[in-house]
Amino acid sequence: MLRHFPKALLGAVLLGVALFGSSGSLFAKEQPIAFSHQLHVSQNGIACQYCHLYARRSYSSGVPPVSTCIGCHGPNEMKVVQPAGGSPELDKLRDYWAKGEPIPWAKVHDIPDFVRFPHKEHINVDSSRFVDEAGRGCDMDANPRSLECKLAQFRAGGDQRCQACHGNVTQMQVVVKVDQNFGGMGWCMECHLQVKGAVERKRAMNTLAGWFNAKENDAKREAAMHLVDDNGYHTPNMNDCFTCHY
Amino acid sequence: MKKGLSRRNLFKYMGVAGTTAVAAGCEQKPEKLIPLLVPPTNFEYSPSNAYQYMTTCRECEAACGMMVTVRENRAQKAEGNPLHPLNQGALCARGQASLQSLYNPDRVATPSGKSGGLSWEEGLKEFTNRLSGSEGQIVYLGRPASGTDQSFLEEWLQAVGGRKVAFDLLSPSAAVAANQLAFDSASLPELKFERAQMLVNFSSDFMETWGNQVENARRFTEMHAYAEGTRRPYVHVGPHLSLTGTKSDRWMVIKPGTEGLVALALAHEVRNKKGGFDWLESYLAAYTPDQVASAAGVDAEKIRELAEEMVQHSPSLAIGGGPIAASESAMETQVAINILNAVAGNLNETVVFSEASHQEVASHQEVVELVADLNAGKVRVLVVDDVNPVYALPPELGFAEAMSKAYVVSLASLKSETSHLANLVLPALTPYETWGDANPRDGVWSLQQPVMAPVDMFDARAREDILMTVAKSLRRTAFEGVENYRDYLQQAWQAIQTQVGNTQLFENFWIQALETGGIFRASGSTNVELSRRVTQVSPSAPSLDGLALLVSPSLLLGDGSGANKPWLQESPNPVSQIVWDSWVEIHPETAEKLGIQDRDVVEITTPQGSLTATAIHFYGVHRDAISIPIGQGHEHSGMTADGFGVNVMKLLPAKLDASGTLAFLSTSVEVKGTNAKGYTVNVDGGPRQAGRDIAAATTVAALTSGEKAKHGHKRTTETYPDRAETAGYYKPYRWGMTIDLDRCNGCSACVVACYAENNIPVVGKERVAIGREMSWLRLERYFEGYGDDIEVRIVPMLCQQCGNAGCEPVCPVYATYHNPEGLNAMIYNRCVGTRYCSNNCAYKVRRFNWFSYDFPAPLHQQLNTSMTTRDVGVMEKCNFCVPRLTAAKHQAKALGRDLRDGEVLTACQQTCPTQAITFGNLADPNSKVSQLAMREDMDHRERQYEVLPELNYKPAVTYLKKVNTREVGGHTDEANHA
Amino acid sequence: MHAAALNQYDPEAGRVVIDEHLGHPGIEATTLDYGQINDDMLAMLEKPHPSYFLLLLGFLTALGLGVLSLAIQVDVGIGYSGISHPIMWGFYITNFVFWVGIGHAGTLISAVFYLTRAPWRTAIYRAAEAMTVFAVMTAGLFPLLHTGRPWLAYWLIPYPNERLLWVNFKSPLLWDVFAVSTYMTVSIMFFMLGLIPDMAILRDEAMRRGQKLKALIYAPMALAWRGTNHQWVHYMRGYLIFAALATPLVFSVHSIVSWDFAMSSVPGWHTTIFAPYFVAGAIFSGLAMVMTVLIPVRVVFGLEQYISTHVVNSVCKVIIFTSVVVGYAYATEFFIAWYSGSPYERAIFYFRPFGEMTSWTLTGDHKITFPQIAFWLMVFCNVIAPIPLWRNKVRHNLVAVWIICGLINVGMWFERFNIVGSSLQHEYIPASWGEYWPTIVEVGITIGSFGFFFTLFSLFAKNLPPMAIMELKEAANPPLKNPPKEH
Repeated sequence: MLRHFPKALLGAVLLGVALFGSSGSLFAKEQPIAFSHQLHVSQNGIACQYCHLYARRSYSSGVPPVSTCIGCHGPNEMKVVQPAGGSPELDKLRDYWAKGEPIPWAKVHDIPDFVRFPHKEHINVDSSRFVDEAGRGCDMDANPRSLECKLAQFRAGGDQRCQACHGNVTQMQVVVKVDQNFGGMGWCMECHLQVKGAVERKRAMNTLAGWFNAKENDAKREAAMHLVDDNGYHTPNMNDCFTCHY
Repeated sequence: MKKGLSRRNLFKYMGVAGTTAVAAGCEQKPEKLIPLLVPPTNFEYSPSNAYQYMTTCRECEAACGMMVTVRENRAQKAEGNPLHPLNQGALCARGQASLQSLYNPDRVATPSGKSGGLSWEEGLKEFTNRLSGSEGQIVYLGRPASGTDQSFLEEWLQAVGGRKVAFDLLSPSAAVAANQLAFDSASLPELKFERAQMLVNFSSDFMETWGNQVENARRFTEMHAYAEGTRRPYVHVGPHLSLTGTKSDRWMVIKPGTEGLVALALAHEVRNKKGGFDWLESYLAAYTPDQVASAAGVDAEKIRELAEEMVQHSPSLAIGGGPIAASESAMETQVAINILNAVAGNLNETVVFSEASHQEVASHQEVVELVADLNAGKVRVLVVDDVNPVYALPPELGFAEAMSKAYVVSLASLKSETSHLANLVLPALTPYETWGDANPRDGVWSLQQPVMAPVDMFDARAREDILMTVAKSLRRTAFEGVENYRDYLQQAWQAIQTQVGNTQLFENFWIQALETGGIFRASGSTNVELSRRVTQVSPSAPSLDGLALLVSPSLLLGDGSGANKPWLQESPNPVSQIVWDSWVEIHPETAEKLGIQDRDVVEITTPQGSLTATAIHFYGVHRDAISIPIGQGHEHSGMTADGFGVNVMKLLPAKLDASGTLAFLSTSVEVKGTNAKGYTVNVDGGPRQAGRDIAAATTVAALTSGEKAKHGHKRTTETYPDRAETAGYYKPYRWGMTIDLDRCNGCSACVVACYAENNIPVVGKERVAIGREMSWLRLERYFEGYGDDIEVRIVPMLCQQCGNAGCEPVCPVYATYHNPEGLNAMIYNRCVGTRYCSNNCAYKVRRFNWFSYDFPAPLHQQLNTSMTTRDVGVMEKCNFCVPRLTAAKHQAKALGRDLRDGEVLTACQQTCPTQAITFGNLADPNSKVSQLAMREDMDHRERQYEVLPELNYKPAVTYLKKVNTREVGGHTDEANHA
Repeated sequence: MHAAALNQYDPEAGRVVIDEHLGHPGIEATTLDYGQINDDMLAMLEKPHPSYFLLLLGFLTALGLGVLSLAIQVDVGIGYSGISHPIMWGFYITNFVFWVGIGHAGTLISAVFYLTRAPWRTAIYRAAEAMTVFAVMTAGLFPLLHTGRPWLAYWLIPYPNERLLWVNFKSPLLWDVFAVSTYMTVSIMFFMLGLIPDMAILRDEAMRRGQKLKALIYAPMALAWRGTNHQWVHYMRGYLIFAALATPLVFSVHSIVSWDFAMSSVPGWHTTIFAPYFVAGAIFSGLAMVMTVLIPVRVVFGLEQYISTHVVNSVCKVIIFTSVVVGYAYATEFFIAWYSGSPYERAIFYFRPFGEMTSWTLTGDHKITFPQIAFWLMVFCNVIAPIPLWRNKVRHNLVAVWIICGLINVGMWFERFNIVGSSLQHEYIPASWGEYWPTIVEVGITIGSFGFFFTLFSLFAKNLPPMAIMELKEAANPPLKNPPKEH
């Protein structure tokens, strides 16, 4: 078998590099309570922002306060929403509540500390800022995580917009990261480059072509950049590093 | 310099920096998501959003209004309350740094007795037991009370049976006594600088520690700043040139302690010219310029000129005081100044008294008596509340020894020499965590509310609540019907509500007060006139043979209470540029006589004691004097204070003046040079600008004669078109700044504000010594001229956000680049650390993270969560507060519009008392900053200039030249040198 | 080949009699026969004398010191070094420039002198080439270890990445990455190419002696060289091409390195003279290093016939020339500083030799700092010290030459420092003028770099032929029908 050793070694190394290089494994993380989004969202139709209440107001979407859980699965056994015969997971929840401890959820969707990601801007933004083609030709069945589908979901708005990045959490028993590359810069840029004028700005500002005889071409270029929207509001430049890193 | 281990822990020698950074690369452990147990419902809250709360700054007695930015329920930034009449949005360096008394690692954590730690129950029990049965022998030693505190303490002392002694090292008691004598008004007047045509200042440091420095600076600048071709002059009369003095147009050098004589000589001349006050004639006859000249060591002609000038510019304003002038006849000096104001017709014009003073004034006389009582065993229990007399008072007074005769209970939030000697130490909360109020001026009730829950690391309680609990357990009748101090405060404020004639529901009134930070009414004024009693007093020059000791109050450390705040220790003194240390200012000529080189260690000896410190040559001190700043040389005030510098008070004799104020100027010193070089650390590379016009100045004459700025005229041919002509750039914003050097007085508030806003680490003395300080904004100090003609120029230097920067093209990885809004973006996480950008930055404003610096708990809780905190190996620099810009743009975006002028204030601009800094959008021709910078119209520029324009870096920061009334010598010959 | 052409074979003597008047190939060894040369060369690769290991140990200690210092710095942070604000570049970049410079001599000798057919290069070009490779290897370390985050240094390489980020082609540092890596590649390949025939000789020798392991090592490097006419033709062609490729690098690489400074706006850096100035300096220091290394080699291995006084003499002539160029450059810098009228330029060029202008300090104390020491050392070692070399007698005195070359090495190192270190201390803003003193770590790493270089070289000297056997033979007289008697 020794003559296969080099190949084996090489394979191992490559695999190692691949895993190491990935911005986080896809395997589910150990959670203190086996909470099922599938049960709550698709079966009981609770909206994302019912629990993640800060998403539209703040940078962080906010993991639900324990009181929110207790609101339905309250400590007293009367009129408590729970499967017949109780559930050990809910007992855990009530224990935390009784002890007055927050639940130490394991973070699944994590981005580096040097990235400033405002949930509120992404929830509130008008999706017409995308180029018109964005999201066309999405085939949910074939490849739900294709760029087209992500864009389509984002444009659809509502809870779907959340799924554009977080995947179809509604069907998840345990939340996992659906995109290998979640939070990677390229992963973000995919969509940021689909914003109207983003590519044109890149071309005009980050290349010498943009500098030479800039004067003559300015008007033309700026039109292409969608610098100003119909209300005279100057749209921000999505290629600017300062958009997310400061 | 000994390097305590504790300090090593604080500024840790980064044993792990590199390794952690590497380890971070392969971090795979999941972070935890800790939810709230119950979300706050009684107020709007969402994580990472900023909320502002109005409160009051209690760092000094001035009681400025404060607006605290709170994120994630942590106070992260202190700013001035824009609605407050005193400071009007600005805050001084110490106010900015007050956050570090909240998050100070050296806060008292638990109650403790001499034997060791106690529980609160034990502590309070002990306190009560000591109080019970010692009625009449209890003394409460605390800061001068203001607002509701006064009545509260009275009630408490009544309950427990004791008396109060107020302590304030830099107490204005001499002035108050003088006003009592001269005007029958035992209070401090409101100084209306802006009404004065001219300011004559007798040695007071009114822009540092004398009075409300923020308000003084604002109103002074209103008067002094160049406008419409004129500037109203400020003449500094005194033996020492402090930061305040450096703003003067002329410095009249007089012998130490002769302020009063000169004032009277001026009064004599002025009265002769203006007439009136005939009853003063005989009195003033003894103080003709010629008689005074020799004593004051100043040419009589100069005095006459000044007097003439004062007559020309009427009403003028004469002020004086502070430790420099506090000789044994300090009170007489103040009277003399009062006389001068009276005869010059400034009374009720620029010097305005109000009906009533609500500010208690501490008298050192009481402290001396207290010491006597203590020694006589008349005091059984001494309650020391948040004052540090053991450190601040001259040892000759023997306070420490006397203190040991009584049982000392110390209510302290921070460690101090006094609580170190106390028998029982009860940790008190800081003003950020407690209720309170202040009444610094008639008609101004400033409210202090807790802006966050107490810092979890410390088991402290509100001082008033401690006192209340004790009183209640002593007497059932005490404080009836009030649970805690908030209730008490609200009761008091119901009275205030009726007083101001507010008829609405108290709850609404209260909420309103909390929102605006207090109740602000115009302060009533009352006319006073000069009493004939003044002729009884006669100021005299102190008889000091040899070198007089001038004790200069410290801009940053105040009376020493600032020493345990890292930001204040690390920010250089604007004049000496020295950090983490105290020093001895000595006139070069005197030094030459004594054979003392610059930065030699010298031994200073007085009958009271001796100490060694580093001497620096400085033209700004009288030839017959040396000057040492107050504030350093702590022993038990925590790791950032202990072991730095020396405590000058050790040299002082226990002498008081007529008003019972400590006579700071009452001893002469013996200076002996050693040939050792001192380890003082100053951040300036060269003290002179070698004719490079970095801190440029012009003269009124030049401006009025229509001379145009030489700067900004350079037209250079371009390889590439200007970015302004490139699609996508500067639309709609091109952020820019103007800094008016004529308004800037170097108060350093902006420097500290920058530290607070941008999570800038403090690196410690050893690192600053080799240029590792991290400040994004520094005040460069340049000397012009020599001898008494010396001029000090201060220029705030920060990233110039160049349109054609040197740093951008040389970065191999685009970690720094020109952003569409004209910002010179620095992307930390892309930085590899080649440091080429810093080499190629002509303004040298880039800072490099040589280590990963530590924010020892709980200081890390102050970190601004809206921006990245940097780790080892990356470059950083000023970015015009881009987190503030982003937040504001998000808000504007929600409204579907662009930002408007003035919607974003940078941290430095926001806190500037003199509004020297203007920030805004240069792309908008109507914005304030464009109006000031006049970039479109270079040929009509007056004072505007960019630093080093010949490099064609196209900085976005435009400076406005300082305006002098005279040409300063010694400038041109250096230009030839260079 | 000149040797054979110029001098006649004397059957009686059994060897070529050198005719001084007809000109001298310079390398007496070219008068030996193939066997002799072979033996001499192979003798150098015999089991070394114990003193060799002693020497090696010394170098390894130095290297170890460097590694230790580096470890400390990486662990504690770059701040452990003396570089600080505003002097952001110190010993490390100085070393980088210095070592890149050292490398240039090798390429000059092996490529340029090959094209210009300088006969005396034959004896020393192999060693010089080896030095090039090692020097560039040493230099390459410094840009990495001086960065704040060395583990991210690969970001300087333009490669398509997930972040959609690109490098900044405007930055001279990036030009460096290309220049140095190109230089590295070419000089290594050139070196290996030159080795091929000799490797074959060593391989065969090892085979003959039955040293399996040696043979196993040498064989692949010999690339199955059999010395057929066919191979020779291709070999010579290839060698010529590589020489032609390497020649422009001699001038381009150090020019680009110089632009790291010239492209900036730092007074004292921002000058057009830098490219030629640096190249001349590089050759200057490189040749000096060659001499410093080879003269001991000559003594130790008794190679008087190979590294003859003539060779030394010729090298010294080039050294003199470059010394003059460098001296001229120094003078020009000062002239331009005065002529430009720029206060900043004038200030820095006053500062370098004399320190701070007295009137700048508040009351006029005169400060002498590291830059002044560096400056005067530089002037002495690079301009004054080489002057004796003008005399023929000195050029033929190996001891003198060796000492002078040693001084030149020192001087050139301080020249680099003088440029890197001192300019940054006195830039535009007086308030941010600074001082620079190296810390123990920087000194340690610097020593380590010398250890690294000399370790590699001494390993080379015992394991690869330090001289081109093949070319020596080429230069020697061919074997004749009636072989000379045994001697």
